[in-house]
Amino acid sequence: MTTESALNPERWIDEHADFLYRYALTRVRDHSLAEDMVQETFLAAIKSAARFKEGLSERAWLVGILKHKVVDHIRKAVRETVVDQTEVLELEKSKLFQWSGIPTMRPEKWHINPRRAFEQKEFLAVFQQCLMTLKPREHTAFTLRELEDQDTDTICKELGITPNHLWVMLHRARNALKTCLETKWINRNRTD
Amino acid sequence: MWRCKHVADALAKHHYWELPWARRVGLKLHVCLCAVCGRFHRQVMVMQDAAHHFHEAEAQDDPHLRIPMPEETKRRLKEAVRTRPPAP
Repeated sequence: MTTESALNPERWIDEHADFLYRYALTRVRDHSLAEDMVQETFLAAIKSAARFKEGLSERAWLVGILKHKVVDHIRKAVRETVVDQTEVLELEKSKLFQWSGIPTMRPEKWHINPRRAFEQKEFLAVFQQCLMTLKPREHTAFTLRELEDQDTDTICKELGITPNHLWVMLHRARNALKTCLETKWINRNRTD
Repeated sequence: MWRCKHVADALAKHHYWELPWARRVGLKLHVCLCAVCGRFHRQVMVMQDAAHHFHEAEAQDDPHLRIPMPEETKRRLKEAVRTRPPAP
């Protein structure tokens, strides 16, 4: 990192604080926790400024630091909650699951065309709102798998759950997201 | 030849667009035609697409997704970094 940048972290706040704050808030869903994580990120960046490679994106570097903090927090939070495996054990015994690896044949049909909606940025803002309304464990599973792009083996190992349990959590998260997206998107278009 | 379990396994471990072209075609074909797992896996793929679009908009700092940090917090952060000298 250049000496000027290393000595001018206040500029980082002007340029990157909003971006980092939204990134953290979408994943941890707690304003004060997100603020603390952004602060820790800036302090960690000051500490390791010498390791920043010239020519790389400053924002990408800061997001990299924040991402580790977010994932660490999620892992710790999930480890502290008790896992109820009863429902998953029942699922594992079902013929459908044993034969096809899926928990149900008939998830609800979409009432909107989701792929067309994804092209609209307003829909992604609704997606962000819906993400914030998921139940904690479903939010965790969806965030780690789909947003943080962690593979299932890593998530299961870190969270101490079976792949089937993760599959169920993701399935529930998708259903809840779908319901929320449809409700909010249809209502929004009605009021426009 | 794709079977339902192979599709479930592939979609659990990867995002479908990351798969090599030939595998992706086979997977999509199975999902289009399968009466058992098709509907379920189409749902999985739609949500993977949603997350992918969101991730891209997020990385581009799309104004629709912005949640500004409170100014008071920014002021506090500036105080905090001002008093923390960089490591030698």
